Amino acid sequence: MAQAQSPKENLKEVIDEPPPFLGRWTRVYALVLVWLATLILLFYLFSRAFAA
Amino acid sequence: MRPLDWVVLVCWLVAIVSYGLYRGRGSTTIDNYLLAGKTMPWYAMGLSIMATQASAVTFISTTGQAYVDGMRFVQFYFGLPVAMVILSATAVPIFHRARVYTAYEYLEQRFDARTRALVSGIFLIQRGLAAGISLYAPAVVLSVILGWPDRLTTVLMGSLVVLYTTLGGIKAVTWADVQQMTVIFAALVLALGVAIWSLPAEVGFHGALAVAGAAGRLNAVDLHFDPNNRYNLWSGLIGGMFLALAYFGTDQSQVQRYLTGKSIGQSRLSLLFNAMAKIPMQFFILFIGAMVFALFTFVKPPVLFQPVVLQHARTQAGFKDIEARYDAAFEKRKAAATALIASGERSAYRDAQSEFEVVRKDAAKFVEKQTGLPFNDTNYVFLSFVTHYLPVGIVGLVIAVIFSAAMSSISGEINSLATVSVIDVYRRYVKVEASDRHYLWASRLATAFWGIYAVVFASYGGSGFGALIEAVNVIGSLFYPGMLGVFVLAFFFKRVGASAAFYGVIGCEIVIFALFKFTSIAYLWYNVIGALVVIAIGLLISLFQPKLTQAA
Repeated sequence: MAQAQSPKENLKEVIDEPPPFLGRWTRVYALVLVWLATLILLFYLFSRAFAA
Repeated sequence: MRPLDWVVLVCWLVAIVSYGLYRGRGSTTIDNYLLAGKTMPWYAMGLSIMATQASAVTFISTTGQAYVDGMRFVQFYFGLPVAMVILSATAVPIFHRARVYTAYEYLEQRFDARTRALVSGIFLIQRGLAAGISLYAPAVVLSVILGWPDRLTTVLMGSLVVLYTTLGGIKAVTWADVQQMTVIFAALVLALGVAIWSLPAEVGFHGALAVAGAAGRLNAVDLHFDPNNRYNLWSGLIGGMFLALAYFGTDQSQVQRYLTGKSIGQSRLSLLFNAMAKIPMQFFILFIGAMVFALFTFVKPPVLFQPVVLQHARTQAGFKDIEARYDAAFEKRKAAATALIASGERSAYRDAQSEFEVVRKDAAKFVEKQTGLPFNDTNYVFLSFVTHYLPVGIVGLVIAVIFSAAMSSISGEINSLATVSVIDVYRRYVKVEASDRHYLWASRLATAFWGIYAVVFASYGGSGFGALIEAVNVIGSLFYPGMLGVFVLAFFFKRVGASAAFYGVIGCEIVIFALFKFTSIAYLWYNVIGALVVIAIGLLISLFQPKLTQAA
């Protein structure tokens, strides 16, 4: 079966720009993981404070 | 529902469809129709991803789950941010640079047509079955609340979705989702405010926290590891991460959202926005359920939250005795809760809570004995609160939100089903060479087909749907591992070729079905095990038959 010709020439150029803050994507990823750790810690403290 | 509520509901539904059609205008090429011409900003994609994922049943049942089981369900989402980071670093740039319409199109570039056909076939079966359920489940709940036949709510929701999705394509879907998520957030804040404001003055917010906490409704994190328990920190972090990788990395209903981004960065930001916003949002929804629990500790809720079933049960001999026991158990628990707030005495309250739960279970057993069917009214807890406590106008708004949540999920599903049908099947095997206009109309027809299919499937599912919903959820969890595994091979194991990937998926599905049949391992772990099986088989075949593994 022949490969279908894709009309992808209509699509724009693929642009990979730096993030709008923190300068590098790896720093943004680190921020997300720190945010996750903070949330888990806060939820844990919340659970402990009102534990059944 | 009072006249103002109806006005709000109707205005909202008209607004969604009109706005979707307005924003979807100009979708006159296949790139515009399926990928919005790659012009979408991150916040629109991010909210659309969130809206597609948060179905009406998720929304209704999450509050109900906190009411009956506490907030530990939030742990289910702990792996999501990690998955979003991994996908932002890997899948997003790979899919963008491959310049594909579907994730499965990439599999042919990386492996061969056979692997693409296998995985896109799995997606069509799995998501096709789910589309009918996504429509039917909220339609039934709304039909009970509105007092309409369930086919009417099914057809109403289905036809509105088909209208704007078919005419406006993914632009209409995405911008309608943005509008819907905005109102969903507003309605959630209002619902929490009313739940707290409705508490008796002597209880207050601190009293509500004490009562909900003593009943275990505020337990959000459980550090204890147990592979058979789906909600603990470890299953959430590891199992949840693999589930999110599978869902956001291989399910076209999600991948298509971030493929519409104007750049790789915009697509990354949409996923990372979800990574940061999803857990607080789920916590907030669960917290509403916990506050409704606290409110219903002091203001008597119905013994059963499903109003039609309750009405019928009251006509049956023996149910009055249960209601009398329920009244007594409620008063005892209320007194114990008041004492808890005043003096901190917890044990009497916990005993009263256990006694109360026993009576509720007896009422459910009574219904099950009468009908011969399993009974669970968790999905009606929040709606019972909404219809009894929210002010006029806001009730209509919350019902509109539930319609919205259902419609945003269904629109994403039928849009992605149509895309895979046209790109991975029709354009690949049926009509290989055709004009852009031809594929555009094929996409529109496929969208209408999947929408009508979902309506018909939901309308004629009948009473057998209860078991079917369970079956579809199980089918989803059985097929995701293979899909995840093959994409992991594609992204990270460059030496593994087509045959190794294909047989890896087949082998994985055999193992997962065996696990499902013969073990009690929680389904969150299936994605972890399945992905490892695909990788192991892929590497083994690559090792022993290198010629077979050459990429096509």
